[in-house]
Amino acid sequence: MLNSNFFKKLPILLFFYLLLFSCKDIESEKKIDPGLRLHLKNQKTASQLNQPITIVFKVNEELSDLHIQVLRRKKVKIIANIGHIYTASLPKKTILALAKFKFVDYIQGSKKLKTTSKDTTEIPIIKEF
Amino acid sequence: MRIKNLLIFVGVIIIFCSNILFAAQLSDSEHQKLDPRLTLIITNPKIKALLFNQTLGKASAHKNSFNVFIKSSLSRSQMNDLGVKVYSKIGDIATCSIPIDKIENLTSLSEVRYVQCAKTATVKNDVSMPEIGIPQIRTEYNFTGKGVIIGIVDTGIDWQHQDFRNSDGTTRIKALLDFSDPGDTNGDDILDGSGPFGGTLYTEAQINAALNGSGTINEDDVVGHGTHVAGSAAGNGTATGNGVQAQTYVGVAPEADLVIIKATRTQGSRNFVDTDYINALVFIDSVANALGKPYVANLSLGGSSGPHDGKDLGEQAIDNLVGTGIKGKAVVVSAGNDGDKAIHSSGTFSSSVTKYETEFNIPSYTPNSSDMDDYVIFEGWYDASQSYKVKIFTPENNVVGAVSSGNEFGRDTDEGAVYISNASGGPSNLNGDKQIQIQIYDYSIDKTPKSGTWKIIIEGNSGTFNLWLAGATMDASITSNIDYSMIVGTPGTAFNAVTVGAYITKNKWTDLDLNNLQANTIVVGKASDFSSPGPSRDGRTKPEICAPGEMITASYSSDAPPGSDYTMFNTGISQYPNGFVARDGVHALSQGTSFAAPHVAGTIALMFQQNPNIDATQAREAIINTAKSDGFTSTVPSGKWGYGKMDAYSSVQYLSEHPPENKLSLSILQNPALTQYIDFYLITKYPLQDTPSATVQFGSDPLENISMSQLEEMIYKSEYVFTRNGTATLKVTATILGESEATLTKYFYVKMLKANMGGEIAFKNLLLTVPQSAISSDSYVTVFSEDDLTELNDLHPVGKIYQLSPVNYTFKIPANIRISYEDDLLSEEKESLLNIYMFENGRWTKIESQANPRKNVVTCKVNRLGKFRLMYDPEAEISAAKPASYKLYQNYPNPFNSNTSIFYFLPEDTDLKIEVFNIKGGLIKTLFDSHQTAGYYSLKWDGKDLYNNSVASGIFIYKLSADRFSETQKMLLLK
Repeated sequence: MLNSNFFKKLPILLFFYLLLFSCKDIESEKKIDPGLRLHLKNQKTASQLNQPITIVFKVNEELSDLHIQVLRRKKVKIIANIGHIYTASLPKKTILALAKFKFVDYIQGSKKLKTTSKDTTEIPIIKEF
Repeated sequence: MRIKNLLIFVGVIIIFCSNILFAAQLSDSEHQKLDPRLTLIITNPKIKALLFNQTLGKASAHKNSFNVFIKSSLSRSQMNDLGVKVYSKIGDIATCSIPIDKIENLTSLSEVRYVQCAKTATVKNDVSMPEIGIPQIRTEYNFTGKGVIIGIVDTGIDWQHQDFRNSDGTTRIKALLDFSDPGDTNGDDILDGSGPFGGTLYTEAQINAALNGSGTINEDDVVGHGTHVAGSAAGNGTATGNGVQAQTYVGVAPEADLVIIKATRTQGSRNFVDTDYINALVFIDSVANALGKPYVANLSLGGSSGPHDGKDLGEQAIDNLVGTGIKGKAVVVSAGNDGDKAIHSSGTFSSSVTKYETEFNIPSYTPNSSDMDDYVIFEGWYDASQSYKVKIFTPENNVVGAVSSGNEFGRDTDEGAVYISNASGGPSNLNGDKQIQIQIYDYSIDKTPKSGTWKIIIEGNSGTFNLWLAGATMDASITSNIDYSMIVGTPGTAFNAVTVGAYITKNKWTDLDLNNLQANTIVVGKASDFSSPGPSRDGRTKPEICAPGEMITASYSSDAPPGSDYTMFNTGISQYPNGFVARDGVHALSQGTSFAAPHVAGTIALMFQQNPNIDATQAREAIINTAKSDGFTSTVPSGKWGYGKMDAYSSVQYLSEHPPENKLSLSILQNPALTQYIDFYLITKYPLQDTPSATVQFGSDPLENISMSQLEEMIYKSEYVFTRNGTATLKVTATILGESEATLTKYFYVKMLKANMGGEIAFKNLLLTVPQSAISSDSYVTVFSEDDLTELNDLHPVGKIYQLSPVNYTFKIPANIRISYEDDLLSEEKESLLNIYMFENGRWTKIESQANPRKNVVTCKVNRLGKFRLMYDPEAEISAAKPASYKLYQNYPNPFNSNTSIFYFLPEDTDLKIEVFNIKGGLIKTLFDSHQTAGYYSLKWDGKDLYNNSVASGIFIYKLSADRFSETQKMLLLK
């Protein structure tokens, strides 16, 4: 069922998909890891596209205050950096815009990791005399 | 007495003779199937008690059942029918408990080959430390990790545990950052909270206050993983109980300082997000930098997503943080526990082999509640010069693809959505290789990935592909074309991390309920089956080293008792609910590469104590060059063992005998008269392959190449002329003959100060203010910062060294230097002792300075430029342990918005009350009301009243009332 909200948000959605698919910028898309790219494609509503996401990205030059101001205007919030690797949060819809910056080399979605301990219930133990 | 001995002798003879008589009742074939001790017990019940009491341990003497191994072709249920309780069964060997009267019946069966008594052995509870040579290090070198920080990025810590406290009861934790509190409260993928990068930060002072009963620390470790890891690396073994001797379970570096990051986002989780571990490393780095100490960070975590070549961005961040030339910093990563899992497939194409089929199974599972939350992900990589085709067959034999190189394709099927990206857009910017991404997922709730056998087909003519099962929400696994190499996880393939696999050093222990237990399937000395093998996809030896990782006994979190919701200490066996809790009740056992890694992290902490100016590469070389090999490791290096078993003692010894040398060094000399001219000198100890190259880059401007020339046999020189202000990077790249290329980097800031105008120069934490008439001609001033973690003249450095050039450039009137330091990381008394020191005549000399603990800055006047750093003198600390008089400082910040700190000094022990009043004298809140010992203190007020309601803006009065002193101050709250 389509509700009125859908029609209100249709222009935004159309705009995004136009940006993402019709004016396909191969060089910029290449900067986004495929898993993250698919995640973006699967965002179905405007509110999903407006949701923030945490990413890690690599730049090819030292980011100056000016760079950071420009990114802030795009709603990219830098969290931390180690050399040219930055962690940041930004609305999902902004990722492609971030990828378009020449100083951005690659954008990776955050990945899940786990502790590297074994499940103790799998260990067969017996009692000695 | 003689009569009593005679009676005992006669008794034993009677028992012995009766044994021979009764034994004759068993047939020869039954004899052959029975452990001789069991034969004795069966044939003569009297001897049972004797054997139990004298040889087999009193704990089981009252029972009529035995723990045994049975080798047979009987099934579990058949054995159960015979009255045998089966605990576990591996092949034809079962571990069981059997009543005495059932043994004879069992051995009469033809299916039973042998019944063996569970063996008694000396219980070895503390073997991993001697195994790697830690006691020898203590005896010969007395290294304990003192002065070194171990950073633990994990599931948290039991911060009250005695193993992490000093002898005076204070905490060894310098900072505790909890990402899980409050976590990501609104599910927007962003951590909430006021701490750095979100979460909640607790300082050393706050932890100490909480240990003394004032203040609250909400952090806990309900899993127990982080506490155990911290205990292996740095537990001091002070905690004990049930009559067990203290120090039985000491970690590798028991006097190291700790920085703990609880990096899980939700309570009880064992999962992490990789951006969080990057942020955690930045935090550890900033704390260590503020305290001027070397550090080693431990990451006992990992995953299989990533290119497995060290180029994942998280791995690149690690490589940026530690490595050649970066002194006193190291990162240790566990290899992972997927060594026995089918998660990797590979293939090499040729003219005769042009197609590979990799089957994988999705088992029956219960789908999650929404769409897009059930999935299987594969990631594959191949060389950019190749072009492969990828297609997928579903369990119902529907085909998706083929997708040729450079394309992507997705299709929603009734068996789930299938998406294939085959290097869509070309080779990846990440590493220049082509990436295959396959995702099978639920695009709607009723279209979940179908259970059954799926098939991935990759076609090509030459080259090699590698494909990993990178993630799944159900228990999926590869079932054909399995490759058990290259399993080591991410970030374990980072170039500059030391990656650690696990081997077995113990399989017997005593639990809390005094059961002597054993893990019968593991063999001491062997590599752990689960330990993820390498190499990395680009062929490097990963893991580099193996360390003890099974049945490791270390600090036990009291927040994670067996049976609790999130604990990792459940046995799954009802007879031994506390099977993994050690006899003393404050340590516990666990296994995984998670617990091998902290043995290495602790060892590097000992190396940093030995020489804080070694880098991660040098620490790794010492570990690799001294690794042990034996019959279990066979030929090393190998994918499973790396370079072998770690020998910490030999590593430390190696560093003593082979102190690392700086083969290349870079010196900079700025002309004190013509300050725009700066000369760079590269000094090498060994001949270079060719002339080194150099570049200078201002900000994001294009690189400027600078030619270098040979000045002398081992010295190369270059010049540069400043024409502008700004932050710049100087890089010199050189290759010593027979070695790989090395790059030396210097970051600096340069600014021209105009004659008779003066000005300010700010770089990192330093601010130089030059008065108007201090210089008579235009002058370029440069600032370089560098790390040097050596403690000189027993002084404790805080932060970086700042070199202001031209060295010895003299001012007509003194200039002002201000150096700031990180907030909340130094105790109040240490802050008050900070001074700026200048390096002259080969040593650091104190300059009379003003410390402002409220603003975290120290200032001084200087007549000339040179090398400066912030330090404090611990001798002065002792003499100044008590303030000379009472003081109540102005709060900071003031005015304030969310919270403010109130600093005060107590010269004597006193009853103390600190209260906040409104301007009319009405009590708003009592911030402190207790007895307090002499010392330097601070506390915070968050602008809330007695009832935890926020108060309105206005002027407030705070009052300190001691036994013999009282003072008030005003503060202003603005909202």
